[in-house]
Amino acid sequence: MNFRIIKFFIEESIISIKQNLLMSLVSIMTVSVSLIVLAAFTLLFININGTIKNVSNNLTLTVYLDKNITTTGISKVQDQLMLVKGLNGMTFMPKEEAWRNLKEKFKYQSDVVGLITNNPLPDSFTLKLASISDVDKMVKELNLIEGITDIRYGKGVVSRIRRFVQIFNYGGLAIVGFLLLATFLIIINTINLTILAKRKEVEIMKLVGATNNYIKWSFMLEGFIIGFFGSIIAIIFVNSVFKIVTINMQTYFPFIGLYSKNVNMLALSSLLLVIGLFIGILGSSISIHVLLKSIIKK
Amino acid sequence: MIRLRNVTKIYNKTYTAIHRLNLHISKDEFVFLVGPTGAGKTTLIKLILRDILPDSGNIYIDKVKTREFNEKQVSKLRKNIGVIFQDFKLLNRTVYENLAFVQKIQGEKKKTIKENIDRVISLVGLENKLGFYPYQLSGGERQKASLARAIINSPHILLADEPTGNLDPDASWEIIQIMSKINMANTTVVVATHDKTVVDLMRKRVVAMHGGVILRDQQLGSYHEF
Ligand SMILES: Nc1ncnc2c1ncn2[C@@H]1O[C@H](COP(=O)(O)OP(=O)(O)OP(=O)(O)O)[C@@H](O)[C@H]1O
Ligand SMILES: [Mg+2]
Repeated sequence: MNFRIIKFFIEESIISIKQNLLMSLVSIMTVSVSLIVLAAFTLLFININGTIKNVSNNLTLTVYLDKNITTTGISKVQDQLMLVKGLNGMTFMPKEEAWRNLKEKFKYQSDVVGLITNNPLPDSFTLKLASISDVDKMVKELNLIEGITDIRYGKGVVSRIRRFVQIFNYGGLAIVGFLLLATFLIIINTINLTILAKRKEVEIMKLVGATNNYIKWSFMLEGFIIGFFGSIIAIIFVNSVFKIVTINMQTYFPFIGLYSKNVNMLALSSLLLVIGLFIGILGSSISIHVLLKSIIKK
Repeated sequence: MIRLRNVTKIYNKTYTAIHRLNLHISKDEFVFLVGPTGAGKTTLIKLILRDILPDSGNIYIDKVKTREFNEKQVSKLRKNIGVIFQDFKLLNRTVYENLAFVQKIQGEKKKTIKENIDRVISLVGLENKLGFYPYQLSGGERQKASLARAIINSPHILLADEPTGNLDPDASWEIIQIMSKINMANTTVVVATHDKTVVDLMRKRVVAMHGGVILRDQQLGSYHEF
């Protein structure tokens, strides 16, 4: 294949896109929207799964100590905690550190946090549980230890999240299924429109001596271009929205853990590009294949 | 040059458009195909171009059976056969691009393409319409653009289906004169037409068809049989 032929394919695909500008734009947008939906669900799944993992790996129980407890009081409590069965470890959190952490976490609301001058937080121990099942017994036992004023744990949260995730997974799957179906129908429809619009042109091209290969390559390149621009739009959109959402989530809902750090946006963008090019080339291959076949048939 | 042997074409398995037709056209001949609407003239031209295949019988171009041609051979065949279609069949792009396309697909160089376009466009007198789209042209101008495209690859055969159908008498005569010139430059020309004046003035071979068969085949013929 020499340079002249490649140039011919490029010129032909550009002429074709220009001739059917509106439809080319529709095709590009179809690719973009499909990819954006795909990306949105991918990100959502990553986040939900991150949350589940986080929750189930962190079956923890926090015991808060008396605000006026002494250092010896703290070590006494620690000695007694060592004897409790079913613990996978514990960490002590001095109230000063807890206060620093809280201020760090709410740094975007420094105006609110700034109103509080005295540290309102008590010292605490975070206990890692081996299993969530014997948490009630343990709580009773812990209540007997002198110096412990409060016990917090998220058993209800765990099971509620579990149930939510189940519903989410099935519901999400159903939605993705419907979206895929809709996308598929839109692409089929776009292909049909392409065939209608280009049938006459392709027939003429063949009559004046163009081989199927020439026509196929121009179509494929056109599909490539449409897929390329479709995915570029999707990538720009997804990246900017992701950025905006993560920043806003941190600002307005800092207590919701967003797993933005676990998301490799470069990998996701590359994936979108590959899928976009694939859709574009596949769509144009199908359409030119059907078109050439129908022309031969007559 | 062109030979049809016992060619039958049946549309939709029911309508016989060409029936057991035999025809031989020698190199450098100028032939008029005449006959009433529905006689099968366009069908005959499509068969020669191998746009459609006969249901039985065979067509030979330069002694080669075209039925078994593969895609590449068909492409080559169509390079060697220039066609003016009854409905022009111009691509929806400028006249220049239409003329360039048929050369690009044959792998011509840009320089050659430009030279050829300059040559044929002055022959048909369409120099100032090169940048026009087909829908911006009059019927006669489209006819001329179509003729320019048909001859740009210097074909051995020129097929023309109603090339004067949309033209005033002067323009018709002009087109026929151009085709006559091309014929004298060693191109076989086959013209399907209803244009009695042109046929009678040219005094060329006339093949008269009716209902898919040849009724009359006459050298130095006229539109009607006396
Ligand atoms: N694609 C087709 N499908 C079915 N019938 C067809 C088709 N093309 C042509 N025919 C029929 O075949 C017959 C011959 O058609 P053709 O176009 O060859 O006639 P023609 O001699 O060119 O007529 P005209 O002078 O009007 O152009 C007509 O009766 C027409 O209805
Ligand atoms: Mg006709």
